[in-house]
Amino acid sequence: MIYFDNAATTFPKPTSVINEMITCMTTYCGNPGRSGHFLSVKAAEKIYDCRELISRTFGITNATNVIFTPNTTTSLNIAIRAFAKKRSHIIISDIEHNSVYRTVASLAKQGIDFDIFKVDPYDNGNTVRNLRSKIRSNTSMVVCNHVSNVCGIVLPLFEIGQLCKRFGLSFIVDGAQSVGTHRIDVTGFNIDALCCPGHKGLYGPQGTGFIVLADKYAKESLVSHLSPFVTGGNGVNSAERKMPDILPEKFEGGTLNTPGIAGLYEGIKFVEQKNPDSIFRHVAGLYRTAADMVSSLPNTTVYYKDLPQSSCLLFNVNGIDSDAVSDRLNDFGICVRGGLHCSPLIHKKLGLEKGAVRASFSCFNTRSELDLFYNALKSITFIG
Amino acid sequence: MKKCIIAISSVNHAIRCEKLLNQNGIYTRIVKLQPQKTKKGCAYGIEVSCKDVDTTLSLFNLANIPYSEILR
Repeated sequence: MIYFDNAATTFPKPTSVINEMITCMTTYCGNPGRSGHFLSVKAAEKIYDCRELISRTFGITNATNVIFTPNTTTSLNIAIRAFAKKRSHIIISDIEHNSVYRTVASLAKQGIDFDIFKVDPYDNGNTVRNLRSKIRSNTSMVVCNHVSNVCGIVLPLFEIGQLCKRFGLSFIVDGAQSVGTHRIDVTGFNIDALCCPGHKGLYGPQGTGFIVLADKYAKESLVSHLSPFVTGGNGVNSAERKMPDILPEKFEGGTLNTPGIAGLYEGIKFVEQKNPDSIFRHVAGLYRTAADMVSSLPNTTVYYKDLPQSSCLLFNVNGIDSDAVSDRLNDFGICVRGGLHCSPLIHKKLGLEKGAVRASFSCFNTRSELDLFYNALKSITFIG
Repeated sequence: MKKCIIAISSVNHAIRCEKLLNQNGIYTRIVKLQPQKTKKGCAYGIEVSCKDVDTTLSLFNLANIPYSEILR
């Protein structure tokens, strides 16, 4: 089996991740933050260790500003709804995933309008100017991804953060495709909320995600202005009707995924040991080889092949639906993804209403797997 | 040795306190407080020797750690 669907979720996971999850479930999986017995406290301590590791990794100092969620979509829902102001205006990019697009669109009922700015994959200056042109007097927030989940477009977070700072806008970043391969400095990039998965580039288990809130939100006075998306029990101030204005509990209603977070902790350590820059060089190298291989075949189109920072391959075999190509590759034991990848905006931008095939790589993939992929695709392009 | 408990609203902040105090040579233990012991219901506490309370509170103030009550 060859797994090239790592943008959906990385597979396999490091052994250390699996082992820690088993250790957790067999030795310390109490309910964190609910009781005073040692299993509950031990679970809470493991989770706090993971908060500390995440805060160091993404450039903040307050570990309690790390909020755990089940996935990036939930993170984005929590963050966007928390920062959204009534009758305000939000700006998103034209390469957003539905986790941003649908969430922002759903706020129309509250009188919140949005605009979409055009990303220029070849000119960051143009991208920032396009964003600037959408800012209105009532704009309150910019939401965008760091790296596209469909191809290799990377957005200039630092420059966008500077623009947000200049205009007093909240800045929410979807880090789904960049954590683990791209350095993100929440403080340095002026990000208010970074929304991430645990199960992709950080090699943790599915069911894990998190938000990194800027250090300034450690102040109760600022947190009190943010509304929680999920309410309920969290072991804090239980006699009160209202969710407490303290982090992280204000945004963590319900029992956390302790085994998942324990696994995520090991996943992040795995990435740190391997070094995110080295992982990126590895997957980008595989991308370049794969892009050359696919484009050398007749009747194929590779999209954005020449982008310098690409690590995710998007292509079509002319005349065959992307899902059919994926199915045929599956017959060879090769896992890729066809269709729209939950990102209709970028497919519209590319004129690909029927979608495309995506091959995405991890640190576990090898050059020899690409040879097998090439041979399988070659037979598909010739036979049709 | 007489023990005092400093009430902290959440387990995360209690762990943060425990780490800070351990780094400063103050032995602590995290305890769960009974709801009737605090004004707002469920909370955790940091148990320290009563002679360390003043030093503990100074460290909390320096680190901007919120605490609600001192139970002696």
